[in-house]
Parts: sequence; C-alpha cells; structure tokens
Amino acid sequence: MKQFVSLLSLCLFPSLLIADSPANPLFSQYCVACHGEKQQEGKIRFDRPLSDLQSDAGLMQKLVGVLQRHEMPPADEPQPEDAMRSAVVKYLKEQMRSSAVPGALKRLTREEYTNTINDLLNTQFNLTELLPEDPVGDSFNKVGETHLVSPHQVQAYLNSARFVANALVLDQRPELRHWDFTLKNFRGSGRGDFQTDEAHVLTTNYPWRSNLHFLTKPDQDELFVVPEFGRYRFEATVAISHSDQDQTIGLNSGDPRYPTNLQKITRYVLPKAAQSLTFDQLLTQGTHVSFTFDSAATWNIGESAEKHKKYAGPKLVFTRVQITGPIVEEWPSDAEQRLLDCNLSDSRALALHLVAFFIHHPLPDEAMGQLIQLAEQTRAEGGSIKLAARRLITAILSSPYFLYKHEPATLDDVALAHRLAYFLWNAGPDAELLEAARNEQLQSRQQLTAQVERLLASPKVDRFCEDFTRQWLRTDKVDDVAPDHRLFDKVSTLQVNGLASETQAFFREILKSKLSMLNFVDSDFMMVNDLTAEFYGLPEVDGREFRSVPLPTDSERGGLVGQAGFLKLTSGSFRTSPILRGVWILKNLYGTTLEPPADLKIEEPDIRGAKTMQEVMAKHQRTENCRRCHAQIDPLGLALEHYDQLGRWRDAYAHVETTAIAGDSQTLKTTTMPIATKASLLDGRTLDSMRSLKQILMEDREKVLKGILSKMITYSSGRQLGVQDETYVNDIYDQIALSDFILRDAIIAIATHPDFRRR
Amino acid sequence: MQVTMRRRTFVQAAGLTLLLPQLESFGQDSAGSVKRLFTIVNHLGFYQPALLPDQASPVLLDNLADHRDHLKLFSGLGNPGVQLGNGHTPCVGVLSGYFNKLERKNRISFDQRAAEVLGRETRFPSMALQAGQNLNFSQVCWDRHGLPVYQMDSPERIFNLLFGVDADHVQQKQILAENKSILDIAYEHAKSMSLNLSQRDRIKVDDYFTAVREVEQSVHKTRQWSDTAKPHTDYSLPEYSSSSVEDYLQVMLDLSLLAFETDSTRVVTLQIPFWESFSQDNIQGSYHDFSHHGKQEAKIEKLLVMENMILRKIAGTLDAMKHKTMTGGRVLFDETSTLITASMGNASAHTFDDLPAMYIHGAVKQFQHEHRKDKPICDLYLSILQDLGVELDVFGESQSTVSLT
Repeated sequence: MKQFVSLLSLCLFPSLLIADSPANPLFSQYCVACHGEKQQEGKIRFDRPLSDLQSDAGLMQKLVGVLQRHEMPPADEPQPEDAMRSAVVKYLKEQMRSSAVPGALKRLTREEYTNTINDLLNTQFNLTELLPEDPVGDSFNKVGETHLVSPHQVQAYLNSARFVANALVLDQRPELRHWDFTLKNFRGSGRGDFQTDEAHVLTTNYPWRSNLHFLTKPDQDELFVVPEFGRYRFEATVAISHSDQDQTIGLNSGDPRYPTNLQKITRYVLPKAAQSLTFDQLLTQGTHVSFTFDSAATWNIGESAEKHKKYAGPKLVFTRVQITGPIVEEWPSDAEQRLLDCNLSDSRALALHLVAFFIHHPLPDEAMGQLIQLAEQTRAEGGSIKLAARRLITAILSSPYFLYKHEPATLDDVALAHRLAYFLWNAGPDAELLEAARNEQLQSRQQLTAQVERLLASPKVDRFCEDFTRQWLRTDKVDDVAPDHRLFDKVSTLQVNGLASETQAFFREILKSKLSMLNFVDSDFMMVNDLTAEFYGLPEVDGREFRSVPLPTDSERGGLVGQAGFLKLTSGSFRTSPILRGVWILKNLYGTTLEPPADLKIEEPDIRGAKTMQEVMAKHQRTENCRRCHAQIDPLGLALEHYDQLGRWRDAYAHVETTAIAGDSQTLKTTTMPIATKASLLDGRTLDSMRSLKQILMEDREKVLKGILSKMITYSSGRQLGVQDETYVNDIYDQIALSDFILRDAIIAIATHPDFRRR
Repeated sequence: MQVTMRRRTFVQAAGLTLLLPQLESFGQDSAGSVKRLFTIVNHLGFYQPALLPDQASPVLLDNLADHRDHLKLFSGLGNPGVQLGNGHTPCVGVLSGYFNKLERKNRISFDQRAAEVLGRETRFPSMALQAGQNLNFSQVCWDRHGLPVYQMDSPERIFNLLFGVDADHVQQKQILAENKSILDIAYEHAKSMSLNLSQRDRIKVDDYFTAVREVEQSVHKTRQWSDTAKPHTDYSLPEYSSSSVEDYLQVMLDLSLLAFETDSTRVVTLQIPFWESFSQDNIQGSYHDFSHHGKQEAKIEKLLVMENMILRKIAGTLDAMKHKTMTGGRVLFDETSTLITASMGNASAHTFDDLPAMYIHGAVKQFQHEHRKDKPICDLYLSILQDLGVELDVFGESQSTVSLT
C-alpha cells in the first residue's frame, strides 16, 4: 500500500521527485540554474532525485569534490552558506559510504598468476610472457572494473596451463645432453664482431640482432634449438679485453634474429678479471638462444671488417661455450612430487588432491564432478595416470574457480589471507597464512599484525616493491627509448636501465630500513650501483647491486622528483616536457585525477611565435578550457626545466632540430636557449627550482602522503577509491603521523584496518 | 559424460542459429568474385589542412597519386555514439561508432561485422594487426559481444600463423581434441560459479563464459582446417627495428598483403597506434608529441614526415595489390575494399569527430571528395558492409547510406 501511494505521488506530483534528501534545497537554489532543465552545463543536471544521481558514482565523487573545494558554484555566482555547504557534504559522504557498492569481481593479474603457481610448486616459470598484459584502471592492473576477459585471454590461459602441466608431470626422466661449441660453431651478427684464429670477438651491441649464435651443424647453418623444457647450464670461456670494468652479457632466449624484445634478454655480469662465466637458465622447448653484448660501448662502428678489427673499445673474447641440460637434480622433481602426492591408483583422489592444491575454497559438487569425470574418462580410454594429472592441471588452471578471486562483500578470513598475500607477495597465501586463516587466527589485530610482519620479512616482499613501484611510477617506461647516441654518446642503455631499478630500490630501502614516507618527497640518501653512481657523478661504487649512499649537502637528488628515471620518462628524445612532469607529480604524488568535463571542446591551441618553454606554457593557458588544468600542471613541471631529457643538470636549453631529412644522412642542429623556470601556482605560491618544488611538496605533505596512501590502498584492495574511502585514508594518515610516517607502519596500518576487509 | 552431452547439444543449437541468415551472400557474388576488406586506422589521424583537396596544399594526397582515380575521400564525419573521455580513450570507438566511458565493453566494430560474413571460407575469419605497442586505448577491433579482439603486434607470430607448420601434426590434433573437453569444463564451471554470484559479478563471469564459447568455436574451426596444408611463401621476415614506425608498418603491410594473397583471410584490420617514442633513420622523437603541434610549423613538418611516410607505404601496398592476380584471373586490388581512416579528426585538440576516411576500390572510377559535416561515420561503414554483401539496414549510429562510387 505504501508503495502504491508513493507511486501515485510520483505520477501526480513530479516535483516531489527532486526533494528526497537534505541536499536538494542546495541543488535547487544554487545549482539547477546552470545544471537543470534550461541549461545542462557539462551535461549535468541536478533537477533529479538524489537516489537517481547516486546511480552515477563518478558524478557523486565529483560533486562532493567541487563542493568541498569551493569550486562550485563558480565564484561569481551566489554561494550557499558554509554551514549549509558542509552539512550537505557531510550528508552526501555518509550516503555514499553506506551505499558504496563493493569492488567488481577480480581475476588474477598475470603476475599474481605466475607467482601463485611458482610458490605452490617451488618453480621459477616466467608465465607472464604467455599471458596478455592486463588492462590498467586507476594506475593498477589489480582493479576488477577493468578485468575484461576476451577469447584471446581464455586461449592464453589454456596455453599456459598446458605448458605448466607438460613441464611438470613427465612420463620419463629427461635425457641430459651436452653441446660443446667452439670457433667453428660460432656465428656473429656481421655488425662489428670478427673472428681471430682462436676466438670470436664481440665489439658492439647492435640492437636488432644478437651477437653470437651457436650452430650445431656449421656446414648446414643449423642453429641450436632447445630440445625440451628445463634448466640448462651455460659455461662460457670468455674474457674482457680493452676495458678494466665489469661487462654485461645478455642471453637472448627469443628469436635470435630479433632480440628487440628486451624482456627476453637475461643479463649476467662478467667480472673484469674473469676468464669464464657459468649460469643456469630455464628454457622452453623450441627456443633459440644467443648472446648479446649488453654493455658494449656502441652499437655501430660501420660495416667494414677493417674497422671492426681496429676498434679500440671494450670487447668480449669468446673461445668456447658449453651447454648442458636439461638438468634434473631430483627425480621425480619436487613439483611433480607435490602434484602427485596422493593415491595414484584412484583418479577421484587425484582430482580431489589437485583441486585442493590449487583452489583454496570448496568447489560445488557438480564442478568437482566434471573434473573427476575428466580423470576417469582419460583412464577409461587407456591414458596413464600422469596423462590424467596433466589434463586435470590444465583444466584446473583454466577454470574460473582458479582464475577469479573469491571475495565476499566483507572478506572472511580465508579471503583476507589471500588479499594480504596478493598485496605483499603478489601471489596467493602460503600454507602458514592459510592455516592461520582457517583456524581463525587472523581475528585479532595482534594476530593479524604478526602475520603482516611475517609477510614483510619474507624476500617475497620484493615482488610488491617491484610491482607496485613499476605501476605507480611507470618505471617500466624509463628505458622505453634509448638516448639518442648523437646527443648522449657517454650514456649507455644499461645506465638508463639502472635508473628504472633505482626507483624500485629506493622504495625497497624505505620499506626495509623502516624509513619515513617523507623520503619520497626529499631524502638525504640515494640508491646507486656502479653504473648509476657514474651517471650521477657520485663517488665510485663497486658492482651492480644497489646500495644506499649519503648525498652531498648541495645535491638536489633526494626524493622521487630528484631521480633521473622520473625526469627521463617524462621527456622525449630531444626535449623535456614540463606538462608530462607536472602531470606525473599531480597524478602520482598528489593523487589528483585530471579529467576534462564531458562537454569540453578543446579549442586547438595556437602556440606559434612562442620562444621559450615558459612562453609556450603561458600561451596555451590563455585558452580558458586549457587553463583549468594546466594552471595546476605547468608550474610544477617548469620548475624542473634545469634537468634535461636524461635527468642531468643543464644550464641552458639545447634546442635540437633535425635538418636535412634524407636517407641516412641527417644532421642535428642544436641551438642554445636560456631557461626560465619561474611560475606560480593557483594559490599564489611561486616556485622556480627543484628545491622550491620539494619545499612546496613538503608544505603539502598531508595531501602528498594521503595521495600515496590512496595508491597503496587501491593496489591492495583492487578497487577504485572514492569519497567513501576518505575515512580509511585519514585513519591511516593519523596513525602514522604519530611515528614520523614510517612506510612500513603505513602498510601494517592499511592491512589491519577494518576497511581492508571491504571488497 | 552427461554434462558434456548437454553442452554439445547447446553448441549444436548455437550452430543452427548461426546458419540461419542464409540470405547473406558469403562474400561471393554470382560470378564467383571474392570480396575483401582492408581497414587501416591511423590512431593520430591525418593533418587535414594537408589532406583535403580544397586546402591550399594537400600534399598528403600526393602519396596516393597512383590510386587517385580509385579514391573517394570523405571528410567532416561525426561519431555521435562516442563520448568524450580521458585523453585518447574514446579512440577505441572509431570502428564501432561507440564509446561509453563507464563501460569497458564496446560494440561490434564494422570490420568484425564484415568478418562474420566474409570470414566463413578462410582459415582466419579476420586478422587484427597492430603496428606498434597495444595500449588500452589502441583497441579498435571488437567482437559481437563487445569484447576486444586481440590485435597481434608480433610479426613473427603472424608469420607463423600464416605459414608456420606445426611440428607434430598428430600431437596437434590431440591437443585440439583435449582443448575441447577442457573448455567444456571451463564453460560448466563458469556457469556453476555464476549461480552464487551477485548480478554485478555475474556480468563479469558472463564475459568468461562468452569468451570460452568463442574459443570453442575457433578450436572447432582450427580442427576443421588442421588437415589443410598452410600455404607456402618465399617471403621471409626482414630485419626490422621495433622502435621504427616505418619498419614496423612495412612488415605489417607485407603480412597483410600475404594474408590476402594466400586467401588466408579476407578481412584485415591494421591499426597504427600512438607512438610515444620512436627512432628511425630519418626522424625520431615522439609521434604523439608531433601531433600536439599547436600550429607550430616545425612540429607540423615532422608530423607530415610521419603521415607522408604512412600514406606512401600504404600506396606501395595498394600498388602491389594491383599486380597480384588471384584465382579466376581477377586482380586483388579490384576485389578489395580499402578504407583508411583515423580515430581523431584533430589529434592536436583531441577531437573525435570531423573524421576523414579514404575509400579505395576499383569500382571508384574518378577521384571524388564528399564533405559530410557531422554525418555519422557509421553511414560509411553501413554502406561498405552492404557493398560487401552483408545484409543489414543499420550499423551502429548510422542514419543513412552514402554512395561509395
């Protein structure tokens, strides 16, 4: 009856529609003139009931934001009284918190998938290359909203599941084989390498071809191919000449003709006095392998053989390469024993065992039955129990029960254990954590803290440091493009590569040494290895491991913004971009979302005639539509203009123009121009240097740290945060404010907060 | 396996409905001529002051001089089903005519719609290729469920698909049979899992469900084709630099041509994506940055180096198509509808309307330029689909049809 009445009133009094909350008076008085029936600025209308508005969560987030920051109504329009404004904001936040929908169903990311399997089986598969890259939402690939599954994805799951099954459950012990390659078996790239009477000498690292290939039948040009999956030992007799430094050799396990996919190159350091190099590598059947000279000083010394022989730079001298494998230390392997640790005469027992091994919550009987049937049918057709096991493993790893995360709206203990492990290990939980969850030992804050501390103490936490930093700060983009060799002839690819690792090492150091998150803004130390210390002009250190070194007091390199990796990844080959740098700071440090309104028509900016970068910036800010965001973005980036596209100090712009674009003969014309860095923020604060930028960030520490905390919460819970999560972020901030914002404490606080159980 | 039985029955039923539209012509007209569709999307578009013939210096068109008589250029096209969104994201809707920023799924793109009809007789219903890195917003091919069609970016992989011989034929057949039963289980698991889920989660698992069904059908098709030998080619992949737009594009165009030549597929879509950084012999930097030229001449010049190069390469491929005789003595070029278009009208201002489209076909007898201000690009897609023999009256946001010749 009640329902009927309200229905009736809906029909008779449509105006009642819009008065369903304390927020509506504010809307009708101050908003609907521009966002109503007559005008729909930004395609937004507020002459609707709140319940209707609430269906658009994004709009609600924006609404609360603009009201809170006094951005709306616009300054030249009538304003609601502060009391009314804050009452409405408070009301809306409560509404949003209570009506917040749980995050969308998530599946494993390809990193979680790989690590989970490796942890369960004690293996070192690189399965990420078998799966497509996961789409990213709010910076991270862990966000369920973005997890579409396409046919291609399913096919990839099937292929990688079969790969795992075939690699682990073997019908017979693999035969150990040995290959011995000497001069006659070596073949070079023809790009700077040459042979003497005894040795094959590498001089360059031509990026589109490997340097040293192995021929099994030299007369027939037949390349060595990995006969079956397994671990192979490489023993190379190799020495360094014309250099007194360590050198790096890459093993390209992809297509030897095209080593462009650098992820397929595994790098090994050859110490300066060494005469040989031995390492083990996991290789897949059918792979070709070859060596690359990754620390070569150049990639191009011309085509003529004479030039190659006369070249005076560092060289690698190979006399022999032996390959042995697949190496089987234990038979059957540890992984196979784990997989087949049950009554093998019973297909049903095998299916139950394998399901429990991979999936940590019960399957419905019917779903279990289908797997048992698969095993039984394989046996009935005369297949071996191992074939049944392989099929079961393939089916289980392709099943949505394995691939999707099992999370109720409020996480139970088992789901909580998974979330914790995905957060800090980027993998499923280990037996101990799972056991604790099943025995209700994650209930008290104390118990939970103990587990979080145990997880943080494990070396597996490095995966979190790597995965989180890579996605948060886009460190994987640092070495996207090699520095132009004509402008930067002294900077090597390996150094640039080191700049990406530096940022990850920095995060790891702050976590492991229990340092303050304020180090992200500014620090009195930095992380270097031999290559990056040289790059930064710091005192020499030995070896490729990153370690903490104190910074000279006059150095500006402390903190994230002082790192060359960030400065490089926000630049092009020839020029820096204050816009990209500003956006990076706003997005990654302040946690700002920069989004144009729905009806924004960007007028094409006209920046002709601008002479300096500052003028360019000023010019595009003249367009009102651009100014709204760029007034926030540009000053932050301009302050860093004294750092060039590789992140090194410069006194003036070297403006590079390419002239005479014809064939190979291209000349670069460099013009020197003065740098202007001074700009003011919307709130009137001015900045003109790295130092003043850091000062601003330090003044805004609350915003910045909350921005970073929000990133960690998004990463750990895999959902897009909103106004409803404000209290979560604030609680963590308040908590760590008591202990100088220690990163480790922040992580513990995030993981032990009641909201961590929210899906 | 009772469960499996039920499943098979379902697939059969699905097969029946697929066969229903018998009226569609399977891409062949009565004379036995074959229809093909070659779609090329340049993500960053074309600088229109250098493209449209009513401008002072339409230098870009010069690249297509050899094919000018067979070119009909459309301009000013709108894409009303595409919402504005962050940066480049709306670009995903260029071929489907749709983008909603609150949804991850899209609607079928017109090339995939064509593949449903033209793709029935070839090993691959369509090939989606990508000359560069696939970023979230470079997805342009969508299947009929609105799920992304994988745009292959590895020349080696494409070459292997087209010409590679499976090492062990018998083993390969066993794997395909095994895939069938494993996909059956995945399908049933998705079904039982969704019973216990909320409506919202169920939608997610439905994607899995749908994807499994699609893979099943492609496994089925692969099994059918597994006894037919792959074609032979004398072509071997050249040395190319994956950081050079020019090299990469050339290899992809070569592979597209080979796919058509060998009748491995009749629908190829090639997207030239956003290149944030690249380096090739004559020019390097950020193609994306060039596109944000702010009307500065120096940048426009660089942008045009790229666009000229792209159109010149495409013209070269079209030329090769004119010299390729297919079965029945017909020329590949004459049997192929080629469409070159862009995801943005003006990349300097991120506009997703005012789109140019170059339609190239033997049936076009003289150069024409039709300015269709704010008329949906889907009108053009619909007309091409109809011309290809796909029977439908509406595609996406289409309002009418256009004359293609």
